[in-house]
Amino acid sequence: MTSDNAGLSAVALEMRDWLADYISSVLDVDRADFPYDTGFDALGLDSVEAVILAGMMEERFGIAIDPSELYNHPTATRFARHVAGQAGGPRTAEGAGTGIAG
Amino acid sequence: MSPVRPAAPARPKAPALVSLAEMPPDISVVLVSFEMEQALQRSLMSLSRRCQLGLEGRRCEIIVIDNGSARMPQLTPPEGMEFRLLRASRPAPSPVGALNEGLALARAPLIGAWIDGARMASPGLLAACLAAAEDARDVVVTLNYRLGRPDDGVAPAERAAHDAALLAGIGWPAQGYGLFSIATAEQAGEQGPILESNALFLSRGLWAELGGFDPVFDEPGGGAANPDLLQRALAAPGTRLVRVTGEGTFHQYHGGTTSTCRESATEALKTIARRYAALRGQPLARIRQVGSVFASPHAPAPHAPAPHAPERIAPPDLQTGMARP
Repeated sequence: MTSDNAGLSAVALEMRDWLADYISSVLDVDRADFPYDTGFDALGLDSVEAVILAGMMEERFGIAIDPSELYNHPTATRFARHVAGQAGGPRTAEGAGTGIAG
Repeated sequence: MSPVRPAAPARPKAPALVSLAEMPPDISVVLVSFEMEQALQRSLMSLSRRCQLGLEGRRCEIIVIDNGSARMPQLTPPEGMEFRLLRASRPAPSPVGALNEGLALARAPLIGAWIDGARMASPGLLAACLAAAEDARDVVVTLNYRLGRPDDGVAPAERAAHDAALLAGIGWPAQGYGLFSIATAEQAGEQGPILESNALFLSRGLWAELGGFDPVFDEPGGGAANPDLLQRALAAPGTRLVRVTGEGTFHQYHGGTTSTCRESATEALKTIARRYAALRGQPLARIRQVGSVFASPHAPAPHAPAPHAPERIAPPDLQTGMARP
């Protein structure tokens, strides 16, 4: 189940795809039909898994992520848009935007 | 040449007399400690025959292996149990080596590992695990709880006193099942996904087959050693998850790396998850299979805290408080 890509930057799309890959690998969610606009709660992601996801995403994209933001932006599409927006700017060769990580 | 004397008929060998002390106990529990004397004493009390139900005719061995405390804990042995207090031969920031040492000393056919000695047991836990382990390939898990409520606003410096007040409030140890009323579950419901079990029971043979906990988890607290052990146990051929409900272990505050404050717990878990993924090539994930459910016959119903929303789940105690200052 793909959602409309309009409005998502290339970085946000990459983050959204990563979220879909990751969540499909740890929860019983079909990657081929990933519900990008379904709430993380509804997918079965709990607070511990949210922290783990945040840690993995930090490593993958080189940014700092507060797991509570997953509740404020509770779908793959919304979270990717939020994080990409926070990261800001074009991607560098070293990774995604560096606006957050200290 | 002298005649060959026929050999005397072999006398049937009398069975060796084995004293009770030499016979293995029915169940062993190994707890690791590091600078947690007060909490450990409560854990031992909870495991004593005074507090544990349904152990008539059963022998239980409790082994505490101290992972390098500045002073060996001064402990009152758990009443009615075969108790040993030992010092790890090579104390380290990770509890894994100490725990494996303790597991090697355990004599029972069923052995439970307490990677964090600061966990109290509910009253029917040992009897339930004994009854639940029907087969040598069973992986018997109990569920994790922690004293207090998430975001209760209690400062780290006050947490130990807060735990003591909570326990006094329920009349512990007389009211052992009251622990459920003052604790928060680390999983969503008794049949919800679990990351680890802080009282995990395996047969002696299965412990040997798995090689105990993996020493690669050498970081303070042991990182993901405990969930890794559970994952490996369930991946071993022919094993079966058995989930004990109605019982549990209850984490007491003791200044560990993930129990100090929410922020440090979050960052610790992120680091643990990344290291696990790097070592194992797969993400650290909860186990979602329910397995075979064994309901404790001793637990009063209802025994568990009211169902809660996922965000109310407490962070897991992966680090177990073994980290050095």
